[in-house]
Amino acid sequence: MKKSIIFLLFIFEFATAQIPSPPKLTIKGTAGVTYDGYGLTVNPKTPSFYSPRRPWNLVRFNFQPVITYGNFKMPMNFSFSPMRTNFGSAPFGFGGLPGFPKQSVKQWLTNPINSIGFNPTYKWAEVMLGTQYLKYSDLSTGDIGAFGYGFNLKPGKFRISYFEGVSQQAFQTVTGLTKPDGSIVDFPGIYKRKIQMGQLGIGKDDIYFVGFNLVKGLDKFNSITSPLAVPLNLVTTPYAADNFILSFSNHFKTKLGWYGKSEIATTISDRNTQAFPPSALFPDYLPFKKTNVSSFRDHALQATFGKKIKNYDLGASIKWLGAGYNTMGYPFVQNDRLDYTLNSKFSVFKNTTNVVASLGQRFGNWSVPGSRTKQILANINVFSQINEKLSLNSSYNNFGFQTPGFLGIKNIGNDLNISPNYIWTNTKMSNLLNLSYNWSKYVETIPGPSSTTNNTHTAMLLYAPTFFDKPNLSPDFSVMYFTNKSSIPSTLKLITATSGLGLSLPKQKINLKGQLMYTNTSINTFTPSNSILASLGVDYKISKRLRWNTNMTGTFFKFGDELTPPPTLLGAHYLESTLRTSLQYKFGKE
Amino acid sequence: MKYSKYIILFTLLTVSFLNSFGQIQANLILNSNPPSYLSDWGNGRAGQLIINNTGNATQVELTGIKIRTSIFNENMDLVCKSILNSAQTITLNRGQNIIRMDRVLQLENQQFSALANYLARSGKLSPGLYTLTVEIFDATTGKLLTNIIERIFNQVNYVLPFLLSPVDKSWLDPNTAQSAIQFRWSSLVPLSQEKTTYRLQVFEILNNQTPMQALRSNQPILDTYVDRTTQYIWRPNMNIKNAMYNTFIWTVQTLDYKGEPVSIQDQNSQGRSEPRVFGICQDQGMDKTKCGEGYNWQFN
Repeated sequence: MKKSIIFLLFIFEFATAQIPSPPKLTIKGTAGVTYDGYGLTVNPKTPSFYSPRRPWNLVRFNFQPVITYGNFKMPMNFSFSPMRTNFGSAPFGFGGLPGFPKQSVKQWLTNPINSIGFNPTYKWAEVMLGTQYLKYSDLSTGDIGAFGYGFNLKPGKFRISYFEGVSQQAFQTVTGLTKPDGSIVDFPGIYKRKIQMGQLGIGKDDIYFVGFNLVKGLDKFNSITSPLAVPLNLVTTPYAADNFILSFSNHFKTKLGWYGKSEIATTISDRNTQAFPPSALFPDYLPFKKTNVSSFRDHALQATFGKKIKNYDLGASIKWLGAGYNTMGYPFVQNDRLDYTLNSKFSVFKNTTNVVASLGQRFGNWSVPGSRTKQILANINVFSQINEKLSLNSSYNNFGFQTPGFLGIKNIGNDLNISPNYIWTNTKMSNLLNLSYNWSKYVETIPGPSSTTNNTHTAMLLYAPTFFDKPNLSPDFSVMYFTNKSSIPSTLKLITATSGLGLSLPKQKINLKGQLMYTNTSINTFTPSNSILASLGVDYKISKRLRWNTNMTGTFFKFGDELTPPPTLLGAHYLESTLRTSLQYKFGKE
Repeated sequence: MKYSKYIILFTLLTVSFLNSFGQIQANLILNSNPPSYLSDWGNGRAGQLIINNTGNATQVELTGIKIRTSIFNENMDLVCKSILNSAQTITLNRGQNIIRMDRVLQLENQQFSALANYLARSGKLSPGLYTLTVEIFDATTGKLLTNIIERIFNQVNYVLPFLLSPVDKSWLDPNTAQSAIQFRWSSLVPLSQEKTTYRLQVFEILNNQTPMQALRSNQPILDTYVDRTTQYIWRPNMNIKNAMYNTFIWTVQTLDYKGEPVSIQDQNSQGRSEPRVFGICQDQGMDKTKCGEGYNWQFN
């Protein structure tokens, strides 16, 4: 009987194990809206003495649901704004000028302020649709997003990825635009830029990877219908460019804390896709790249190696980019340079002292040994908990930039900061006193008689009491003195007094933070300027899932006589206000 | 009298030669600091060749010319020389003809010496003084039409400023940062003889943005122009201490005396230096070595 019961139980267990419970459809994620409002009132209105520094209105929406059904998962990302505020990408601040064409749907889709992407994933296969920011490696691509399609496959150890899309839509040339200051400018246009990328290798997530990366970027020449050229116009439309990168990269991390990565890469770039083919200087690299007379080819490499365990992290890195190294995946990266850096982070004296330090050197113009620029970067930051009451933060930064030769350029900076904290307590309250002193010296030498020295001293005293019977209240008071004396000569002095108050209302689920700041600014012998800043922040947890965050700031600034002449600007003032509010909702099972 | 027929023949030849020499007048206007990329010489900034075709009725009408161009370095070693036979024939109209510098230079028709290695690597000649020589031939007869024109130019390869301070990925004290933040960068190298203007831009990194997205899509909260000097003390006068966003990305755009960005490889970046990021350490009095610990600058 016993045996038969055990047998029945075994059968039942086996049967139930064979019928898995049906997968459940789950949806979770976040949704929200953020609004930034900006106001500026200037007096007098003309001549202009202060420009708005934010868009008047900026609304941004975000909706990031993740749908899961068994092994199927679909993360989506909708972050977008109807506004156009681009300065570091097309149309480079021209978008707000009267007469500049409105944003088209295609431009809106590829505007970096907007991300609309879907990443349906089934086990090891992922399809990438819409806006994607992919970082393949440090020398190939990683900074620039693109709107397009692709896939990412991870069967076993294999890593196969491909994506192609548009990273920049075309903007046509516009001439005769009037800037707010009345000057006339031409917009030279931007080509539609398409980017393709692929990766093939083997690896294990967060453990190691070894493989090849391929990136190709191309400006579509026909996307600008009427390129501009001098001398008929004020500016020239750049040539349409082409860029190809092949790199071999690897990285690893071990259980013992060792980590490292290295990469070697080559690029071939066309400055002008319409130039005559082929290059007389080097051959085509088919099937990847045909060359023309504007082509150039160079290489780059980098390596990082180190060990990180609980109490310390020690690493070294080196990076070299050739004179013609160029990647559309990192459009701002400076080439023709060699850098090396040593980084360390460790704790000593039973973890009472923490040290973060780095030392490095950077050489620019590396390919021309007689004209190499040198830059030293060294910094150390030490925190010591001396006893229960006293702790000390200190830091030192040094950078020295110089070009060769007796009459070379030199930019040398030294910063020293010492900041003790003292805490004392009685039966009713705890008190924190923080004194911070910073000395900064900056010497700038350029050929000729000019050498400018800046000496900056900053001293700040902060007092923050905590009342035991009112734990929800956290006030703080600080005064700061800042002075910068330059050998030009010129002197800038700032005296700031700030009072802050934090209030936590747990029952109402509200956190309030406010501050009032007064600043007196003196420049040389001018009559001082005065400003008052008031801010209030409200963080309201409406429910477990819904959070409302609002921040309001108002600044009144009254100039002395530094803006005169004209005499109408004597006592000029402005009132600037910022409102930021954000409503964020978390949905789905957490 | 014995030599009179030779004298007459010599005079006729001389007159004929001078006539053909005088059939065109060429003036090569070359910018002494032309664009650093040779392939950019067609955009009008390098200069132009102006040819006045002043042929008269007694002369055979000149319909086309061929140009041979050579570049020599400061030791007068040949960097490149174009092949005359395969040079493009340029049709001339009567009167003034303007020829763009890319058609004069003919990169597609150049034979390069080993000195052009730097050009192969970077698209630019290595920095220094160069001499450009231009010879103009009759495309039909192959006859040299003008004296050799020589122009000296200076190849300048600018290195954009490095951003020095605030140090990349550093965390600043909030109380100080609300009143003053010092920005420092290195000069444009080599120094330009003309005015150089640095445009300093600081962008807030908003939620759901990478630093590069912020730089490419936001309006800068600081957008100021600084002439020559490489330091700027920004007095933000804004709420940084308790603000929603406490990380920033900054860069310097270098502008030439015309206010145009200094040309670099990716022209979409418009002469902007490699940006740097910094944050505001919100907790006062704490161990500042732990400021920003765990913060992912790549994707916040």
